[in-house]
Amino acid sequence: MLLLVLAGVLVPAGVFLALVVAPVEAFQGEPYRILYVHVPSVVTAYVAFTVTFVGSILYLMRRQARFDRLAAVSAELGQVFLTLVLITGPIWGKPVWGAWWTWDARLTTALILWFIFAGYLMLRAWSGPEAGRAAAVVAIIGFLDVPLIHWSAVLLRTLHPQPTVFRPEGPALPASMLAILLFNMAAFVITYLALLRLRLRQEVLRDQLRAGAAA
Amino acid sequence: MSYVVAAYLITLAVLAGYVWTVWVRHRELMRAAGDRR
Repeated sequence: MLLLVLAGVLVPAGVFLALVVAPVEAFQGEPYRILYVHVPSVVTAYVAFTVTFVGSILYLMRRQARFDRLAAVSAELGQVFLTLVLITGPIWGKPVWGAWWTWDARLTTALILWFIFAGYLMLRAWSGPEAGRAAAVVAIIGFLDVPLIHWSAVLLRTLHPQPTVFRPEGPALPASMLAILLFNMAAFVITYLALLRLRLRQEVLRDQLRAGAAA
Repeated sequence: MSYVVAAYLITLAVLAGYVWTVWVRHRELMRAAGDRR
């Protein structure tokens, strides 16, 4: 509950910092402010899918339901944040690139990840609790797209800019922008953790009710 | 600026929408648990 309250405070505070306090960028002007929701959504989606990846491997190794639950719930949350990435990206692209969408490597691999995990969630929804093993395999293979998304903008020529924060030479942003970006990243990751905890509790209760109904 | 406002409104709406679905699920589970007792 504390995490949820913290998320409820930090997200609006982050929006205020991004829209009111952050300086205007000289080249892009106002549209660059979308960075403060787009990049934190990307980072949170990566964190969520990494948790799903690790949970899926642990489930295949140990066959404990808690790892399956962790993987499933984290994938659901990852999909929410990835959806935000795919919505805010085109809204940012239109005023800056002059196009909502372009089939360049980074955008395309991100869209592929969305479809992979949409498939994963459908598999879980339609197959019921016994889908754990198949879903874990889909999640592990699907996760391989995450490093591909990150490196696509570095290794290939894309319209999408290269990473500005997570790069070997250090962040490319001025300190005033970087601080607000890191604040928003923390706010989004805390929101993810709060919702993850809540959803895990729900899934435990659901499993207990199912077990009670079967007995 | 309208692009920025749209991006932020949609982000907050999606997050709020998800939280609402979690709340609905919570209510249903609590009701089911209550019925069992």
